Amino acid sequence: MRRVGALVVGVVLVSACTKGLLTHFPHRQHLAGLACGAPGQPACLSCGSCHRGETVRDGGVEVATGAWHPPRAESCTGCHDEAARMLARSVRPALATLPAGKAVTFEHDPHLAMPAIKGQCVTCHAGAVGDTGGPPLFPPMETCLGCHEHRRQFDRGSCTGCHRPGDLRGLKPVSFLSHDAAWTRRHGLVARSEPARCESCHAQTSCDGCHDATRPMSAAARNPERLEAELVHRFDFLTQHAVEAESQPGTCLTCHAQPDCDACHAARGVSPMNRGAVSPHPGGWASGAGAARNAHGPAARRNLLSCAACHDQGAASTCVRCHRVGGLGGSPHPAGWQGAAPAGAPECQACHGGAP
Amino acid sequence: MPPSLLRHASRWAAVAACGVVSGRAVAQQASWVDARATMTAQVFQQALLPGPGGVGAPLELALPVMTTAFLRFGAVDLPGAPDALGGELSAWGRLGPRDGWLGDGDVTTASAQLRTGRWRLTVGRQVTLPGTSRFVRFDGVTAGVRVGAVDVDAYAGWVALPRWSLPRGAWVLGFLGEALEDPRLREAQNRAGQLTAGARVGLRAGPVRALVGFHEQRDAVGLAVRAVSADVQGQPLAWLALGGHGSLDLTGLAVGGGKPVGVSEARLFADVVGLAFGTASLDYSFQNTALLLPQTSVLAAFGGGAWHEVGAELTAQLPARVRVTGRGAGQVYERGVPGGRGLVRARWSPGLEGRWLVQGELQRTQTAENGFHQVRVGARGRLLRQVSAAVDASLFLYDRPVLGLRESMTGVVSAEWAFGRQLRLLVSTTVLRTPYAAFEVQGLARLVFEWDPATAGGLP
Repeated sequence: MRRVGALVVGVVLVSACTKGLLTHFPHRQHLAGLACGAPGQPACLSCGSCHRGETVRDGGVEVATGAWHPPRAESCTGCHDEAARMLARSVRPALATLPAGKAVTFEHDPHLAMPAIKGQCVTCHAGAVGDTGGPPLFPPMETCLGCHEHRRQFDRGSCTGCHRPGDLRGLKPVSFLSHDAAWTRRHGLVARSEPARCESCHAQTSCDGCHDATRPMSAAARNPERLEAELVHRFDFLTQHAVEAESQPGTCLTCHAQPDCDACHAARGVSPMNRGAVSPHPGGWASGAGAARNAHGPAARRNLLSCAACHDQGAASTCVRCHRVGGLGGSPHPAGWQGAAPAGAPECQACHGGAP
Repeated sequence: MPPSLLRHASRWAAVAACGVVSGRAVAQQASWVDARATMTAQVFQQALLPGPGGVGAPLELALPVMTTAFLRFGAVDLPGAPDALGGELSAWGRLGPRDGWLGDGDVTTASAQLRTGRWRLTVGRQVTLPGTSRFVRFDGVTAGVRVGAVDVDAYAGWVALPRWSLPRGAWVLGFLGEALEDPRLREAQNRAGQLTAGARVGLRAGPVRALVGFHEQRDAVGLAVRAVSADVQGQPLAWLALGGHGSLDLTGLAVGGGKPVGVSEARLFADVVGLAFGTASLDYSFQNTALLLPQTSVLAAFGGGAWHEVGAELTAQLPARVRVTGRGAGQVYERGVPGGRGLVRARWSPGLEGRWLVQGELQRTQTAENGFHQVRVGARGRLLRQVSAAVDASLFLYDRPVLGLRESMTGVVSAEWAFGRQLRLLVSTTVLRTPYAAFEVQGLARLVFEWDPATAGGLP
């Protein structure tokens, strides 16, 4: 058992400590650390020496032509005996697949010919010759946006100049409309103001992934592996939900129709509509003859939605029994109340009957 | 079936499906279709809550099985209108001994969208995002047009799922036989008066986006929601983004000179962005909860107080892929009653593309009635190329006992196998000790089938 535990810990640590690159290949050593170009020395390498289809020797330098591609073992055979094995080792095994959807529509040659790039791959692929060889070996989108034209495309929200339209459905913005930690609180505003923009990547069903309250199983229960997702119904939400509803009244309505509360309560036997249901309120909650000292009024004014979660059954509501015209509870309307409903509306009739 | 064969079969099936949809023998390359089906099975014990005098209800074993299915397509050519047609269909169904041995299910989206030039038209069951009454699902039509920097949307239809307000089971979907026999169930499906309509006008001027929207919704009683809302967002400085939202309840105008117009909710935020170390944010929220109730509710006549919240959030990106987030918010309710929420979270995500994640979280919530501390720890990692595992645990400590207990503990362990790009199987076990469960072990199995042959990425 200890060995298994040690093995698991070892795998975790080794995997966790590897750098976030697709390759172990010592780019810096090959590009800047080799003695080259002088008589008796191998030709100096450039990026194209390995990443381009054909190379021709021009003086002491290998000049590459043809299409750009991932390196092949033949590129290494000039210097290394076990080229295939070494190349295979240099690419990170198994886990080193290119993240889905990261391919972009890009032509290297026109970019290399631009004055700002001066034919230097490392202008964008700086990680290839960095001191530590770390990321970004693949340039982040911000690098692409450094050019004016792409910045304009970015500001317009035009993504398909670089990304394939189908890939947009699988990509998550990092810098543009960044879906960061604060995004959860902000995304509603963006979705309201530009729904068509969301639709360029998301289906409406994507919203249901978190917001769909019609399903009997919460998103948190369905997706226990999504630790980083801001799903609100995690763990023991049954106990927590009363405090959450009290803490931010109205937030539940983001997804739940208001009567949904009572539907769930009734199904579990805790609605006032259930015969014999136990009241969750302390003694004296609505009478004053107990510790709670008729506290239901201020509580209702503070969070009327909490009351409605159980007591919104129209004329059958518990509230109507006392607060109807002539009832013990008196008028529940705030000072200066003027109703929106026309005279004789059912919601008025519940308490007022024929009275004004 | 070998993975390569499955891939080829998927591609050819996709081409065939697009061809059928577009009515062409060979589909345009831009046309696409993808689909997902998820089957989730649970096992747990359940009972109604204790009755009068603490009388316990008998436990019963529950084995619900839920299936969700989703399919969409897009960029299908129509005569004279390339890439014009798209659509989406999603639904769920469940069978299991919860709320009785009853089937349950619903169609959540079933819509087709036509895009041609600057115009777009969506017909069918869909979702709209109005201002104060949020996330409305309806059966109807949305028409939109974009003219330069102005984008206009208008929608109308019948509100879907008023049956949210009914107990689940036969009362929701209704077994056909029962629905035909029971007039109450027939009436529950009657949506004749459940109408909604609204419009949005969006404007984009440089770094500023603004929107004004109007939304009206009626239920069986009458006018439930009538609101106008506005959103503004902008980035006046390279490092500063500002935004806000406000909604006005206009139901008072329905009878003219009656109830005054009221602000039902508002929000303001200021985000400091583009900093090397992370982000910072300030926000203010306001809600008048009585105005969020449908105005046909008898309780809406009670009025109520508003609550305000001021919050700040700081996210710092530290070396070694450690990200620390802190958020604090203070609240003031009716009569100056205070409340608050605070959270500190640290996440370490080494490895490529966040392949590993370790996180710890401490949260405090305080309200007038109760409050709690929460401590949460979790980790997730990919152990092998096809296998990943996660563990997540939480402890709640309540200020005041709930059903006699102050503590609530839950732990979840899950493992997922990916069989190629199409198929994933997850199994999970939850162990909990809460005020509502003295000790319980629950199980869950989830099988996901994703079919996305035209895309390198997964489904969002």
